Amino acid sequence: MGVQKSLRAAVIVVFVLLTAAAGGLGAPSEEKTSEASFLFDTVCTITLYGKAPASHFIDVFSRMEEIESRLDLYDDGSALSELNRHAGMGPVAVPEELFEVVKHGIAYSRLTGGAFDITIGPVQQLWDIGGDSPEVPDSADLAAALSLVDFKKVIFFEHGKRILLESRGMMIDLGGIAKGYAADQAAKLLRDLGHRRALVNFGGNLVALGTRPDDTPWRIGIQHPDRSRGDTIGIVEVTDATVVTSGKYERFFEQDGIRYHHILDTTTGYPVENGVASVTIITGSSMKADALSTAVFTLGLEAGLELVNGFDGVEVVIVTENDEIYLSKGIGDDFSLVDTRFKVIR
Amino acid sequence: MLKLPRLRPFDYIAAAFAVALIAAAAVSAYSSGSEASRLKVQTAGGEFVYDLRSDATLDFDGPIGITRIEIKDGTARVLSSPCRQQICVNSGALDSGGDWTACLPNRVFLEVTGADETEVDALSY
Repeated sequence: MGVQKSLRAAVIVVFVLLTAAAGGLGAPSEEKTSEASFLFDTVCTITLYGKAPASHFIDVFSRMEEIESRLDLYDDGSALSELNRHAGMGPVAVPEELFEVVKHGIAYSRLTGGAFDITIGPVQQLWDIGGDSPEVPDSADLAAALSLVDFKKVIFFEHGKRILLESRGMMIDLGGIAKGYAADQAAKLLRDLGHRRALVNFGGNLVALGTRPDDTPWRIGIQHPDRSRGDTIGIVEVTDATVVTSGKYERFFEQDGIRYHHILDTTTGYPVENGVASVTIITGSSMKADALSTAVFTLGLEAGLELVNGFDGVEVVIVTENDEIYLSKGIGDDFSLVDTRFKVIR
Repeated sequence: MLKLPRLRPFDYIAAAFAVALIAAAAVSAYSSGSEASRLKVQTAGGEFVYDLRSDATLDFDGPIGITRIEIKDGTARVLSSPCRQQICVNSGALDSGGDWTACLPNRVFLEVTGADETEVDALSY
């Protein structure tokens, strides 16, 4: 009888183990839910893993709409438009959020020596790239607009959260950091809602929270500059980081057979043409990455790499029109090449 | 020679239960990778999901007119849209999970879901 009992127990143990193993094999991967919305003149997607109540998406997108209503240059009713309308007319009290974002924008303008400058508004407006009627501006008009670009002419008054744009006609354009700021805010809100992992993708401005469901780093593709959307030139592996790319292929128009893209040189007023095809920044703050990707693009290969190597915790992938890919010092093995036509230079 | 124990009715039930669980888990494990591809279309008028195995031509109303989408041979593409830049039309066919395009002016967003996972989790562009 004792043997029978033992054998029966053994049989049960075997079944239990087999069942547990099979249960593990069949366990579905963490549930993934995505929602998209049209904001900041692009498609904004949020992907959540595990339990994701619909209210979380609503909460985040509502907050994004609030941010857009304050920072959108092209919305006449936005706080930013109100500020720009009063350029040269005295300090304007603005919402605290706008005050802080403009302050950050000016700080990045200073850090990059003006290669990124949020007072580029008058020049951007003249070109209207990505708008309804883009065209190459008259050179006199461009010179006049360019004379208004100067981040040193933005003065802050902490008391009353007021901002002064010193000259009439000045215009702040937060297009270079608004998506980054919003993505940072979305990620913060998601963390506050208890999400340990998520992907926030605001028109290519990516924030990757935590790791993939299998606890390995996220694999973020970098758009190939010469191919259609979705074709990658390389992949970066990141954990709790943001990946932001500025590329000349993203927004452009053609006139008389010449292609004009949207990244404008703050010194000449024309689209930057320096052999760089795209710049990808990997760091902790999406707003910073947004500003730096534009600045590095404008500065070009050598000065751009020098700028990035001066920051802690900032990495860069620069793709040139000569089929070369330059990587910053700390990127290590986190970058892998997809298009082997390109040569990687570390 | 080892004498096999006499199994009681409960043992048969337990064995059957374990086998059933193993079978169910195996089915679940192997079926999740071959889920059929779907097309998710998000518009101002709501969200719609289509089976990519069924060919169809679909019209969606937006703020500036009609965006026409074609599902054919397991792929989806924007056939026409009243936008100026035609980025959505020029995006071509979407066929892998995670592929997407959008007509921003007409507020139409389409994405392939449920197909085999692509090599990357997201795209920076």
